[in-house]
Amino acid sequence: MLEIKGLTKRYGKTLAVDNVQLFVPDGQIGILLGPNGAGKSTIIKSVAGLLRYQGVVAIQNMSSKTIEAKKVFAYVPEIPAMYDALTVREHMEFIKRAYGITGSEQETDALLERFELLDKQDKLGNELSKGMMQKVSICCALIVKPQVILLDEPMVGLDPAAIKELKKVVLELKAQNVTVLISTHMLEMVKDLWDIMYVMDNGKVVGTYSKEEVGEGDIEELFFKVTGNEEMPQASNQ
Amino acid sequence: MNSFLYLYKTTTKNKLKKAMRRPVSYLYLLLIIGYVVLIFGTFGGMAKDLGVNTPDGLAALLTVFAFFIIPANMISYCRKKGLIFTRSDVHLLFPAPVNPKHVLLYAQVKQVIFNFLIGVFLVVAGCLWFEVTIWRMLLYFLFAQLIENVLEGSIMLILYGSEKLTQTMLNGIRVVMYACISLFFIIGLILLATKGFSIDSIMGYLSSQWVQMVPLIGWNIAVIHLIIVAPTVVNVICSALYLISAVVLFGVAYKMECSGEYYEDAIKFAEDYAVAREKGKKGQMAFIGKKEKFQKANVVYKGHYAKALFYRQLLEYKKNKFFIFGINSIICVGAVVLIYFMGTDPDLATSPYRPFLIPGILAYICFIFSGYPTKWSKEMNSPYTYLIPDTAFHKLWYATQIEHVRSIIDGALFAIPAAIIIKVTPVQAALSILIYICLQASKLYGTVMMESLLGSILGNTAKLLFRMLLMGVLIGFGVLGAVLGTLWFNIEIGYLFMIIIVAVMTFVFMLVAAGAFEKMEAVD
Repeated sequence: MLEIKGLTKRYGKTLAVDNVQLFVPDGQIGILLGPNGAGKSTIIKSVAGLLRYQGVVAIQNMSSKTIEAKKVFAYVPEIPAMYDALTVREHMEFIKRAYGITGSEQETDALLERFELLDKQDKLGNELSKGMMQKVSICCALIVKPQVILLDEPMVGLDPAAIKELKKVVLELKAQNVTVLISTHMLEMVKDLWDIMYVMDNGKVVGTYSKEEVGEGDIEELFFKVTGNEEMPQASNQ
Repeated sequence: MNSFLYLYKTTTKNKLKKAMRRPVSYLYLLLIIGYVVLIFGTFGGMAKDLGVNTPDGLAALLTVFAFFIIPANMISYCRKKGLIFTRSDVHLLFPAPVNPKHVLLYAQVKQVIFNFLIGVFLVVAGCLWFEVTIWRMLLYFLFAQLIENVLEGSIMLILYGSEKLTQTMLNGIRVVMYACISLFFIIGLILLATKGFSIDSIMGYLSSQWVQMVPLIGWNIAVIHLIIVAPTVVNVICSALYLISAVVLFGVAYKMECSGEYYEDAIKFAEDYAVAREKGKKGQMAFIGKKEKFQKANVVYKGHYAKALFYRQLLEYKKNKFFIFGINSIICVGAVVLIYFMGTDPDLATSPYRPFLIPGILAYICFIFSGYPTKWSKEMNSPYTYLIPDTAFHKLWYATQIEHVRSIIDGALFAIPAAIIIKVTPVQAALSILIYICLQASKLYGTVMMESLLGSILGNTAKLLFRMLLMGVLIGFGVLGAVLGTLWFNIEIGYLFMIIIVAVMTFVFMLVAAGAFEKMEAVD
């Protein structure tokens, strides 16, 4: 489970996130929606331990800053960055060592094959396209076998086949009782996935909905109703 | 630590493999070896000439380094800017379950490797040039690699990673460090003013016991004197204090809690560093973390198509704090100061070379100072440039037009005062400015031509060498024309010959360079 209590983050005088509460139980998929600048990425980065913040972030009831919590947590950032001089496979090997995982080479192969990277496994980080980097980033997150996974705009840069595969992976993770939080503004891409939805605007959570509550209702309509913003998620048409 | 070791080992192995596949690596290796041989061949003689080829000389040299490097490092740690992290570290390393203190040490290792190489160099230099016995140099090497690195690492961990030190405390440490550097300077200046400028007085100051009593920095210097020169009461006590400090600070750093709050600052620095590196790779001037500030301005576009490039650049320059004045303007003003002192030489007034001094210095400025690519190079990175419905030649001309205006101003900044100082005619001064404009233009179009023809093949260093060669040939032909014109007619005709030769070659460069504005290959 992922629990956020009273998360507040300032950049100088700018209040980026204001007293956010959020809870995603085990085996549920949470989505964080909001227009650009709503504070989604700030929340994700705070949970990943990359920012200083006020408040509490708990991963499986442990402070997110502890090593134990980090062991069961994986993060896919919005903009992936690879080591220039490591190959795709060496990235996976490095992650396995950094997380103390003794996964087999077959597991690595399976993940690479799933995201069509097996033939690119010997390519160096600086030879990869953005889409390929995003795939490697997802593979690195999955090899950890996390109990909580955060995906920040994961579909951006992926080809249709990879998006389809990623959706399948997310549903499989849910079936394995993994907590998933996806930050996105591509509503179309997540409409079949979500269990809990947090709508953000101006650094605040302005609406919280569960799938049971909304049923088959249109999340796009709901989003506009809450934010009063008619311009935002055009990306769903991309 | 297993993951860090893997990361280092694998990246180093892959980088070496990649370098070995590139023929240019072997050329660089040869250049480095040649440079080292050159240093070893000349530095010993230089130390001897200055009379510093003694253990005291080496100790004085290391004292100067210590007094600048230690505070400078501490200042950067206080500002959380001393360690280089990459975007990939931010993505893959920071969220991983690794001790944030280990992450800091991982970044510090690059510094340790550099220190090791410097240490090896110093052992050889100490024995060869400064007549220090080998056992003393080996002892100094051990001290630098073990105690000094431990102390430096501990200070880095405390200043960078401590979550108990407030920003006010860190600012206080920075102020103390700045004060130390200033004090070191001021005391030195006072001593030089009272005792006079000589190697003896400098050496006397650098080995003074007062310097060795400054906490940490001075104590480090005391150890250097103890090992390399000879023991004194002060350097033994201060060395002991240094050792105690190393042990205590190591203990503090080891026990200190660090949950990774520094990641936020490290991410900011990693981002700024990546941006600066990308700019540097493109040959642009880059300062880490410096954001340009612009003022409000407007411009009236008088024309269409490629002319819009000129007016957009003009608007951008008007928003700049210093308008179109840049580094070249500073260099030209600096050259005026130089010529002012040269003008005091009585031999100059009667020298037959006097009229060639101004164009000579201007040609030298063009040849030596590479000049960072300015706004014209950004035009080549913008897809909109290629989409403008105009000819490539027009685009090249309007994208670079403002650079010619800058050359006129910079040239005048130097040539007019210089002409007054060394008393050459206004015609000669005006022709000198024309020569400067032509040379700068040829450098500019030579660079665009090279980007067009060899941009994707050569690296930045090779491009720089190639451009210098091109400029050398161009100036050579120009000088030949000037000499022949002067011999056959007079100085002014000599100047004109040079201008015509350079202008014709520049036009040829320009025609070839226009190709760069047809292909969109420069766009990232």
